[in-house]
Amino acid sequence: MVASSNFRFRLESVLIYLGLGIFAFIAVTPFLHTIARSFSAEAPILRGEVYIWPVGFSFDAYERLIIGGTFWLAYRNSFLITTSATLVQMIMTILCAYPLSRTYLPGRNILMTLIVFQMIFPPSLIPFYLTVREVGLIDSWGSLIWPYAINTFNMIVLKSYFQALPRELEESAIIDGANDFKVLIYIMLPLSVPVLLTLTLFYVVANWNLFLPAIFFINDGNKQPLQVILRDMIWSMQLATQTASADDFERLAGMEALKASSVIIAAIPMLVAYPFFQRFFIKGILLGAIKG
Amino acid sequence: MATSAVSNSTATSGRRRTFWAQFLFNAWTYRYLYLMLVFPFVFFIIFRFYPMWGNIIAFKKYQLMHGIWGSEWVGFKHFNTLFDDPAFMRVLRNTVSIAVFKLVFTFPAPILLALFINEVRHMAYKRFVQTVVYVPHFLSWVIYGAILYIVLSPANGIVNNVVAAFGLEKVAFFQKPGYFQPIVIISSLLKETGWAAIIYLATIATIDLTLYEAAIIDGANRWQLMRYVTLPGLAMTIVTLFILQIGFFLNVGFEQIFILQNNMVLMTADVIETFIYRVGIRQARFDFTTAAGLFNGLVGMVLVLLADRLAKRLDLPGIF
Repeated sequence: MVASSNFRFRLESVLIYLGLGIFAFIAVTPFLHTIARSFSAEAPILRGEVYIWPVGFSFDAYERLIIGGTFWLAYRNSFLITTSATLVQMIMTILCAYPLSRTYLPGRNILMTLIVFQMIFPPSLIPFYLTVREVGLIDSWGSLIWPYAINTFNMIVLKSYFQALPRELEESAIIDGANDFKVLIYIMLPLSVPVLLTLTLFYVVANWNLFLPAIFFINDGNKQPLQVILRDMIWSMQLATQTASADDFERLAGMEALKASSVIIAAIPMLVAYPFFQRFFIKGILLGAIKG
Repeated sequence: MATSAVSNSTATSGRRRTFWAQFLFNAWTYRYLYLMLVFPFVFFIIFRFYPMWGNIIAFKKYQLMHGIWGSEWVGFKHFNTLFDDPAFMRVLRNTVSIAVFKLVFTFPAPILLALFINEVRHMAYKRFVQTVVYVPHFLSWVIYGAILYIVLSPANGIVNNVVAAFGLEKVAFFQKPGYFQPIVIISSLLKETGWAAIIYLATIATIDLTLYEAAIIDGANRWQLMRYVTLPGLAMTIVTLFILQIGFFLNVGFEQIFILQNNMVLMTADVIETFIYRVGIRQARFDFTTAAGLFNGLVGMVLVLLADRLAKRLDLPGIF
């Protein structure tokens, strides 16, 4: 009896381990396939011989991309957009969250009501687009920064965090003659480093992956961020392979491997940063679970 | 009569004076805090509240040279056109269909994943599975979409290689309208399930271990522990997230769908948000699509408020 239930437990464990393994494998296969293609020679790819291991190992696609240089522009743009947007967003989020975390501040309830209202009734795309146009931000990086200066959810997370810090710290500093800016900078912010770091990472990932705002507001190809440039590259290659005739073969040479390696090059920064992000993001998602 | 009127007026003016005095006193006392709020509220006013007024062009014939305010009123004309438009009806059907599928499949998936990950006692294996299933969350939909295009490529993607290896005919997944919604659902499952499981795993970690010990002494097996200890421990989180999901029912994933769709599958792939973008910004029919946006926004708001009411009735914290 005991032996059989023990056997059953073992068997179930094996099945659970196996099921999770299969799910993880399916989730990761698309990446492995793409990586394998990016390192493969063109002919085996076209013959459908590449699965998750490169066939006819070749660096050609990467060489062409690195020499081609489109990605340097894309990286540069995305880097500049991400750093400036994150800086603006962190400053604005702190400036908004701190006063609203002071429960004694007169008028705080009205302001919170307004903020909750714009959360449940966010501006719809067209009026938002027309506003950005009226402000004159179209075709500038400002359109990717200012209209997104505060993520309300992040702001509320930070507000709750400030609110949970003991009042006495603030009071004693005020008695010692500090004003609210000094309290914020010298007392509150140093005490909030973990949550500030997490929010910074949230903003960094969102800014680096930013795509739709650039589609809406930026027409100038030289100002596009990485995501838009990658999509245009993939689409033009996709179109070229679909409409090509046999004598175009010269021009199309290496296109499949090239497509795969562009995706990998675009994904590298996130994959490199991932182990670092994983730690802080999990903390962050739990912070978010604390009610505002 | 007269005296009471006089005393009345002095009372109000007195109250008004104290109100303003109080106001000025507060403004001065808390001047640094209010000063901090200036820039954030300039942001909210310009980019969050001002566009709400812009919604009135849903009731106007918008002309660039007249601007939002100067354009002529047309009443509910755009709404009538919208609801008579078979294309918009199709868009509504697609949106609701994708939303329902997401609710049915992508909502329970992370709960199951968390329950199973929780059964893994082997720490290294557990960490391995978690690491692998969280990764795709960090990649943008552009990258993930491009990977899907490669993997599902009709000529030589891995899926069709496998299909061909079984002797079946290769499928052009991105050209058949029938495959679009399944692709959307499956790709969100693969990309986001792992990440969404984190919150459940964290909740499981807070369940009192003595409950498990007591159940084990009473002879509960693995499934009984899951059913009678872990799931009840998760109930609060599940219901709260479910209500949130209901509230944001119509947000079916603008970026994902925009990236995956193409003209050949628009029949099943066009949802409210992509419709507004394509017809509104691309074809510059601002007023007409603002009506669609306003409709979308109002339905969304009603759903959020209903969900919040429901949460409060169930004694849950609610959305706000």
